Amino acid sequence: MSRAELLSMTGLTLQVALVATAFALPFALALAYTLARRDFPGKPLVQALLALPMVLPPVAVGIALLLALGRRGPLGPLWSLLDVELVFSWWAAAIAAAIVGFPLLVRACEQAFADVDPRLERVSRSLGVGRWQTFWRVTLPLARRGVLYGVVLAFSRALGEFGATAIVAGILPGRTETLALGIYSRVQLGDDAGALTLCGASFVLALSAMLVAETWLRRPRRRFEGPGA
Amino acid sequence: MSANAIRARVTRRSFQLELDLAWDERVLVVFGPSGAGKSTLFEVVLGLHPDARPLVRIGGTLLDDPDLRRRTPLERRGLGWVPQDMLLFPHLTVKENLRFGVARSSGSRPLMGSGSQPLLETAIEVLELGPLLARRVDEISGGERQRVAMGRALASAPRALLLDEPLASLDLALRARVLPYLLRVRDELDLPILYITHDPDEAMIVGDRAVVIDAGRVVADGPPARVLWSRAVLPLSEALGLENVLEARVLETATDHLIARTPGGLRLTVPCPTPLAPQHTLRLGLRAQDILIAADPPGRISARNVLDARVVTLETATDGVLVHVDAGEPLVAKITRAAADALELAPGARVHLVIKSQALRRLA
Amino acid sequence: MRRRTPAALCAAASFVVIGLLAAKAPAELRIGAASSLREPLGAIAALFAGEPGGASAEIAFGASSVLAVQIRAGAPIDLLLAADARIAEQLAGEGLTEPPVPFASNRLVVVASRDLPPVIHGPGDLARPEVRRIAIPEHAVPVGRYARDWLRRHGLETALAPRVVRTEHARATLSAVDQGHAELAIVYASDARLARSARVVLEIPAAEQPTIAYAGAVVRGSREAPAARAFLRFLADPRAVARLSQAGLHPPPHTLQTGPHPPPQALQTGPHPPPPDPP
Repeated sequence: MSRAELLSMTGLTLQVALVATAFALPFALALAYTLARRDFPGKPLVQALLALPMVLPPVAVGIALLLALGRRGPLGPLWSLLDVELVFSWWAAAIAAAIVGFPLLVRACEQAFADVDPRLERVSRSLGVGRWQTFWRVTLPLARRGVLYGVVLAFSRALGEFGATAIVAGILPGRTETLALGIYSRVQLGDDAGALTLCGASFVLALSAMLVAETWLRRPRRRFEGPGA
Repeated sequence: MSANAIRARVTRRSFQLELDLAWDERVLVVFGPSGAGKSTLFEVVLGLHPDARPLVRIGGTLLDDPDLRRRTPLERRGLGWVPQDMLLFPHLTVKENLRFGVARSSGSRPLMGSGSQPLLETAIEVLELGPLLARRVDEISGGERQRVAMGRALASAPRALLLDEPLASLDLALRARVLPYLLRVRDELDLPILYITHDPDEAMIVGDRAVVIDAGRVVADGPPARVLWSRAVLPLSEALGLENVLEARVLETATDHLIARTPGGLRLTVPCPTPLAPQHTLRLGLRAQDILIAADPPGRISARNVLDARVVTLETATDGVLVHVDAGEPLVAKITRAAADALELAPGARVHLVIKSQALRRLA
Repeated sequence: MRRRTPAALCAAASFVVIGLLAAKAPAELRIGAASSLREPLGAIAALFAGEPGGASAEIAFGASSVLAVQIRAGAPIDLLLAADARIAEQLAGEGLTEPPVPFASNRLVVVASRDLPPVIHGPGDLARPEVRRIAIPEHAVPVGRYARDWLRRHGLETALAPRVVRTEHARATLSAVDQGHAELAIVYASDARLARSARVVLEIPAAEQPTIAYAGAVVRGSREAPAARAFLRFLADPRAVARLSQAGLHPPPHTLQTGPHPPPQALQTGPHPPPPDPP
């Protein structure tokens, strides 16, 4: 394959993973905080639903997404009204990646929030700081490491996501063919050299992501050790 | 109508807390053993028990009223809460902790008489927090953390201070160092204060009015000196055993002792290894059982303090008789039943109190 | 940070909106094609785009069965080019597509690794001792079934059973021989063409194998149906046929009777000359 093809596929994979993680993050934070702080009727059901994308075979997730995002599914009229075609677009790939990574993200964030003493939030509010500001100034900074860990997990999952993506985004070269999909198609075609090249690109991408994550996770500690903050 | 009131009925798993308090005094001490419901009272004042349908009025401001269906959310109650574990924000420096609630201080009334200084600076000054500002929370000592917690509450321009056992987690030496700051805050700043403690020393020193809670009920309510050695309360304070607390001003000093005079005119001899300047004010504690009662004037004895007094009333306690006397100051002595009978003590009787100087403990 | 949060949220929201706008349906022909058509189809689509009445096409590749699932769920495919005509027939039977039109066919061949001496001249030679392993796709894949049926027809199934290596799909079978893991393999002629070192040693006669027909079907209700039909007709154009033949695909069968046991409703299309190009 040409270098342009390789770069384009790598770029697409990165784009899909970043958008997927960014898209999932606010929902995951909200859900994780609610699960960590509140008990409500139906909580076990929510937690079971949350685990579904991890437990179901990825193909099943892909078919479910196909029905949800497709024009022939129950939401079809909505998509027709908005005149958007999500299936077979890179958005579908991002949504698939976001969904499979969502449970990992929520679990990690939930644990991180649970480890923050709720009394600290109460003190913050007693000092006149509202709930939203308390979340930003107290809860999130104290939960930062766990949240980042979850982000790394979800991002890595998104980088390698294949099963659901193949179904709902299709394998469209140049448009939705991520590295994972590309490796699969080239193996199917007997293009071993191409497949290996893409494997190499995946490896480099994953390694870089890990290195970035490591530096992020390490930064808070340096602040403590520095002379006089 | 009093400036402060709390009315609520809170049901917890182990007990029910019934509150019906009203007071105008500036410093209310909430006294009682652990688990009695003191922190729950604070939670009601903070508005954390809405199902108790509370009535809460602090410093003249109505925060909760079930009849008017008024409920103020925690972030708008304007209370300076210093929790029992201090709960400083571990990810922030001392200065950032102090500044945390400053946003609500704009436009609020000044704490000090002069009124021109920003609250944060007042707090830093009163509590001597200057040298600590750049430090992180895990780098400072327990006593320093306590002061930072107080400063953080003050800097947020509260309409009242809620101090939950501020000295409980400190050892005696630290307590001695932090208590003066507490008293400075009390004396120099114009704020209503609610103060929880299980230590009668503190209650006597700090409070204008005391409320005693035991197992969810208010068992006594009134001036600390009276409340803290009423029958209902003595079992609670006897564990720490200081039923008499006096203030006295130093008159003379000598090598190993000094002579101080109470406002009521009592002259007391107190051991004192290091000399103190005259006019210095002392707080002295004295256990009821350390006061000997003599029906006749004693002759030459070793005790340095012999005081004339008149019996006011006698009260039977579990392990003896409490003799309330007036010696210029109200005092209470504890003697055995048999001794009280033998001396034929009765209200109005003139007696002599014998107190060893070492029995007079100096409080901070 | 207090002030920046609403701004960050606005930025994120606008990003999503813009992205959604970009996801609007493109005015192109969308083809869902079997993976084995990857090479010839790229060139054919380019040719079609230059034709009068043609259109630019975007192609989604995948297993024919997966494409069928996607079509059933409403994925935006205008034209299905399946490697198994039965799949297209099924969709047509469900009313999702127009009747399928065959455009190519494939044949089974036997390939040998370059290490094997030239001893294979007929089906019986497959049992020679030089053949230590023979690679055949697993039964779940159609080519695996066809291979097994052909071996059975020649009474070789039991004799070769201990030497059979099952692979996941057609191309893996070829790789096995290319890399020397097996001496022989039964694969599609179109796959065999891609072999690096393996060579075809036996072409299985048409009478001894099922008709493996590639069929295209226009999806009903698609906006680009006219262009889809035009593309389907274009597959009979000599230039397209040439590309397909380069990829190892044979011309389409006269009938779509598939498999040694014809299905109850075989689509009997008589001799089917390609329609003339529209003026």
